[in-house]
Amino acid sequence: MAKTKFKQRQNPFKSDAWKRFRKNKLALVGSAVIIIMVLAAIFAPILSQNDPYISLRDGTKILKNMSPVDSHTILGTDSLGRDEFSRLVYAARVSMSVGLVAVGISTIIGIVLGAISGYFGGVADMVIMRCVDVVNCFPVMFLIIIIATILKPSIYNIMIIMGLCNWTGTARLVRGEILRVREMEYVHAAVSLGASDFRIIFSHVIPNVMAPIIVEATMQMARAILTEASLSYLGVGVQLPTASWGNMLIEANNLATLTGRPWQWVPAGACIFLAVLSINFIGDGLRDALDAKQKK
Amino acid sequence: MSEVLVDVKDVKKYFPTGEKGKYVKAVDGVSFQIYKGETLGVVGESGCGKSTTGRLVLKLLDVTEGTVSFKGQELNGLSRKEMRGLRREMQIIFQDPYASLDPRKTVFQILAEPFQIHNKEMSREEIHEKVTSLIDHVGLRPEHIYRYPHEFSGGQRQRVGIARAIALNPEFVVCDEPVSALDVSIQAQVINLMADLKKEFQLTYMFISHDLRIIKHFCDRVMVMYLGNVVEIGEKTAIYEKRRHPYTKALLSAIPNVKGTAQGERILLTGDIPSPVNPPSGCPFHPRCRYCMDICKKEKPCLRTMADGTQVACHLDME
Repeated sequence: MAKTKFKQRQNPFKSDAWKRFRKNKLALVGSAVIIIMVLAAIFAPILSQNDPYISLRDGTKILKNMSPVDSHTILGTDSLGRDEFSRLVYAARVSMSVGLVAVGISTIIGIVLGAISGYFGGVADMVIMRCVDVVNCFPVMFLIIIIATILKPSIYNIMIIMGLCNWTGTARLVRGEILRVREMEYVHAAVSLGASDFRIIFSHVIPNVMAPIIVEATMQMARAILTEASLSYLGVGVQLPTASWGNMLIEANNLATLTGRPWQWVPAGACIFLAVLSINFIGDGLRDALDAKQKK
Repeated sequence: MSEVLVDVKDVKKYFPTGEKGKYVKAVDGVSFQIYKGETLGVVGESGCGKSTTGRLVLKLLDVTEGTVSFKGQELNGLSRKEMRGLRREMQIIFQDPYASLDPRKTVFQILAEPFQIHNKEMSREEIHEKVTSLIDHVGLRPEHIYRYPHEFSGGQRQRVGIARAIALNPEFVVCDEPVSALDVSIQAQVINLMADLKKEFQLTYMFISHDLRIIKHFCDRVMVMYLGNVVEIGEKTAIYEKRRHPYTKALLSAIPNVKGTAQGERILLTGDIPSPVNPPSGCPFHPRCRYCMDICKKEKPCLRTMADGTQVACHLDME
């Protein structure tokens, strides 16, 4: 009964952070853009007038390819007569989910390995940090291309490979933060209570290093979307006919398209640009908002 | 004398400096006992190894050499799991109440943790009841339990820290300068709270401080440390009145006197405390000692027991 009387208060960290985030206009605009893109991706079937995988025809026979904007197609059609706008919104699903899953994988690996390395130190630390150095030496783009060709390029392989290559930054970050937090007295207090290592890491240490991890993950998300776009443009990423912003740009390899039919490639390029820029703005905003040092 | 609760024998703690073969000799061979029900005060200037000793006693740090026994059981070889059972009987109160509470947890979460670790079968309601009674014991109000540490003043936070330490009903609590980060007016309140809790829960304290007046007020026995060594240990009255060891003498003569009456000669120590990486030969205090003799430079004095039970480490003839 006493419990119901004093309701759980909202975590002041979160509300303060939101106050600071709200002041950053660029971050707000970025969030708005990303929210619109996510909504568009979710409601892709409703937004698109035409199936993104079917070539449209003029009347009954003639392929309606490379046609500019008209009443049936918001952004015209591509060289195979498919609706550009439909492909754009379906591509948003692919590009964003690749980014999200890849960053999810790399962040989890980074947190776990960074935590082990920072908390236990010694041999584990040395082995993991040397692994980080080794992975950092890989020319990631080249490695991804090779693995993608060996494993058969697919959207899932791309997610996994990118996840496995990009965890080093997070691991280093988490390790450093844990080295800092581990010497805090509240961690000593937990030790003196007899808490297990697992409990200390996940209940005391990780929540206190979450802010920089979130920022790092956001920034990585932008990089992941770019990497996916580059890979798909090169033809080793998301495979046609599945649309992604990257492989929609393949059309621009054709000089005639590049100069004469901008509706075939400008929207996809603009989407990549806007998504990456917005996510970076959000990341900057989060960094400022979550930084405890700026707390008054 | 009552039963020995903590027995420390010739404990050393060396920290590596990074340079090969060089160590910071934070604690360099100390031996003492803490008896059940007493409060042992530990004094000394900054860097003399007081806090390190406190942590060694709780096995928050591992000893380099020597043994620490708690209730007759040696702690050295115990695993984490074996330690866990003992952890509920020995607790620590930290110096800095701003650093010792996890900023992301509410007071309830902080105080529930000891129960979650040691009494896994406890339901949330039971824990809630326990936490409410704890918070009442340390003089906070029940509505405080859903607040975050930064919403409290230093004194209130320290009360939360104390509540956490006594949550599991320990027998022995190391107080690592529990009031030195607080305002003087708050210090008294917290000290009184600790005295009340000691009576109520039959606690034994190891009270680390550099405030000689608080030690005098609060402790039964006093241990004076210098550069990782015990220079004098004994009953409070014997230490404060007889002032046998030259270092104790100097330390106690530095207590400010409010009344302004003559309190004897002020002994000013010259020079700095030597580096614990490279302690002086013989008696660690000899470079600053006004009674320094030849033997002091060569031979480290052992603790000698005086007629009243006080132990002093000095080559001078004390009796």
